[in-house]
Amino acid sequence: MLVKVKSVCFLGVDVHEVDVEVHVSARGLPTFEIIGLADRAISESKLRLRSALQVSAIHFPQKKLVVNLAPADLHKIGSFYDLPIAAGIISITQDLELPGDSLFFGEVSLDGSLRSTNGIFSTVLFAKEHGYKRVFLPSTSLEDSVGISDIDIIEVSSLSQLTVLLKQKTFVPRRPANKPLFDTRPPDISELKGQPLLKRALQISAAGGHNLLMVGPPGTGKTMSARLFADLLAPLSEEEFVEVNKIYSSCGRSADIIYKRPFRMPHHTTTLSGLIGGGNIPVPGEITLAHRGVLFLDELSEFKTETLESLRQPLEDGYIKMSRARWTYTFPSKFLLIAASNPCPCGYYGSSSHVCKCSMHMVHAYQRKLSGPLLDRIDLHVNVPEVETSALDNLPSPSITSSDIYWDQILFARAVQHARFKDASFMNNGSIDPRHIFSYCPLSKEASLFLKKCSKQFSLSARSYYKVIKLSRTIADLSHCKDIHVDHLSEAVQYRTKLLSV
Amino acid sequence: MHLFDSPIVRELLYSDPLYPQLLKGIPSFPKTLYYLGKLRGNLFNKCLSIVGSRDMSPYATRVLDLFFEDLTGTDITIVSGFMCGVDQYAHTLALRNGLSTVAVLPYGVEHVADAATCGLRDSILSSNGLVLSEYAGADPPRKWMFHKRNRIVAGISSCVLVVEAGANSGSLITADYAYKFSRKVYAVPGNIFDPGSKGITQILSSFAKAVDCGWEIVNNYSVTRDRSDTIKTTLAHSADPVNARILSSLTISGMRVDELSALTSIEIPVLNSKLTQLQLQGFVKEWRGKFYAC
Repeated sequence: MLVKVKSVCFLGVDVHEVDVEVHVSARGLPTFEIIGLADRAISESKLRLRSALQVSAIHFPQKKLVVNLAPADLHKIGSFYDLPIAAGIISITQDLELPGDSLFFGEVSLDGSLRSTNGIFSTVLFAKEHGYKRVFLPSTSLEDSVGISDIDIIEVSSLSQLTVLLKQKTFVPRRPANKPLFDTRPPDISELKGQPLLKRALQISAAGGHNLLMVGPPGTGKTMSARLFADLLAPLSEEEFVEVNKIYSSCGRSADIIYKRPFRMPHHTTTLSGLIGGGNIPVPGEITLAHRGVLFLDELSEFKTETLESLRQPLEDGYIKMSRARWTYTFPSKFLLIAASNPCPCGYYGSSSHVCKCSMHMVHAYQRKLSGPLLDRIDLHVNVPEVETSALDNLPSPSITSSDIYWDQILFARAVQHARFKDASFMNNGSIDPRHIFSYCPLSKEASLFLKKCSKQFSLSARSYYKVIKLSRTIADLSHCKDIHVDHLSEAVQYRTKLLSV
Repeated sequence: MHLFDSPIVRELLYSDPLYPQLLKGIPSFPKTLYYLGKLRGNLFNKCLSIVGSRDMSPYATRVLDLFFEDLTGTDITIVSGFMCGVDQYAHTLALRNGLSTVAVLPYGVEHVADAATCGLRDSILSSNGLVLSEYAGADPPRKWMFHKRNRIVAGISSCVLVVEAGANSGSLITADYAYKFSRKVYAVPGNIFDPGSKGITQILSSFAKAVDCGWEIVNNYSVTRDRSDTIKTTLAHSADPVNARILSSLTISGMRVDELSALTSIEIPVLNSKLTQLQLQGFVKEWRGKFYAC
């Protein structure tokens, strides 16, 4: 007697259909084998199911029982195959037909009840996208499939209840819950005391999606502003919501649904594979967990050079491919990079209040580590100096834009970009590639001449040249200007790399 | 490294009449000096040593520019340590103003510290200057060599000018030696809030004399020349009142954008924009994150 039950397996962030083939044979000694490159958790299923079925007073066949998880050459990992296997066994021993167009997913406890596991969101999404009618899930996991429409969720609370459902042949579906609404109140930027230059840089970065580097002594609010920055970002769009949750669900990273853009802050001791992903069976790294969100690298110069180098390609491409013998895994990695660093080993080079204890050689070596191809891909560089303690108590000076205007400008700039890139593959000014710069950011003759002058005066490299144009497009958008003016360019020029001016 | 045209190293014994006389007066003077270049008889007659920090600020640059206006046309030999910063700028200005210059190295006379300074070395040698050292051969620099070199820089001249020095600057060692050898030590006052000037304040409060132009130093040497009054034409402030406000708020110790914004009440986007334009026009210079009026 052979029955095939549909389930899934996860390969990186991708989901694959799996046929759980359950075969009960009269011949041979009573055994229970699970094959198909199953991991340990799955092979433990055998004991789980045996006890669970007995406790549920469902007959466990004393025959040769073989379960094959096909395709047989993909690694199967997870404890959720319990339900499909159990469904297959019940179908054979109770002579009940399993409904077509259905996926089964769930872990079984020894007492026969079902437990929720990670991976619900991805499974339900997969089912919807591949034309399934319904998914059988543990009843405790309903919240995890938020926001996916047009698919029936059949709640299963225990194996005995499953048997009843299959006998009845009618299933009462539940629809996944709708996404809750969140208020989009703008964050309070006055939490960050002083630092008008930094606030402006955060505004430009948030509006146009430009990577940002902050350089300054310890304690100047670099870490705090990175956290504040996360709140400045636009809410996740529908597609982005699905993308992000698919990642976290498939890779077993979160049992909860992600509603806000991810904010990842890996410590500088993170390994290369921890950062970009890897392993024998690849798991996503920080860059993938930061997809559609922010990757904040604090103490940038403390990261190993090779670790930072590995960021270059994914930062450029928006994804990272990892080849293994059996499969090539592609992990998405479209993130905004925010980095913070001290200017020298002791942290106080250029400080007006502390003496720098480093020799010039040490400072040079430290800053040289910051430079390079990674920095090239960061559009905004700002120095973040110490704030006078008096400014911490005073009212904000008139030169700081009020919080409302600050926020409104960002929203306006986003709307303009949304319209501008309607038919393009990029979504904001920061991700325009050099080939398309002049079609999206045309410059008047006057502006062009001005830029050439700046290029000469400040020795701008070709990359910096394009960065300035992209930044000035965002600055123009923030100021509600259709064209890029000289003023926008001349402000943009100030955000170039100014590490050590010798 | 220059593979061809290697200059010949010559020895200068203390017994030689060309050996700098003042140097012989210091305790444990170097018995032998090794040098590159053409040594003429009166090179060491009137020597002024100029020392200062390696991390030279635009202020120090302007100071040296100003002082050399008074040194031009004299027959004073400028002695310095060939290190980056004040030393090298002093050598450069000496060459530019037609003055002889002597570089005293803290390493073997044939050692080349880095390719960038080769040009300066060659310029010094081709303009009747000297590159000398207590150490023959190509010994790389070691810690003790700096102190020993500093005593030569102090002892070879009748006056020492310290342009800019932080609390732990090597120039203070030179100044100390000069004081011990009863030389005249001059120091240019700096900004009391700037850590880069702490050394200056130290020596000014003990043995150094404050000086704000080269004239007083030149007076120590019996030189006769015409001092042409050079009136620096002040650049007219731009017609733009915002620019004028920015320029008048920039202090000599430099200001960051944040401070400037608070002081002038000009918002960051406008301020950044104006600063770029002022830099293009040459009215403002940017260094280490701070802005200075030129």
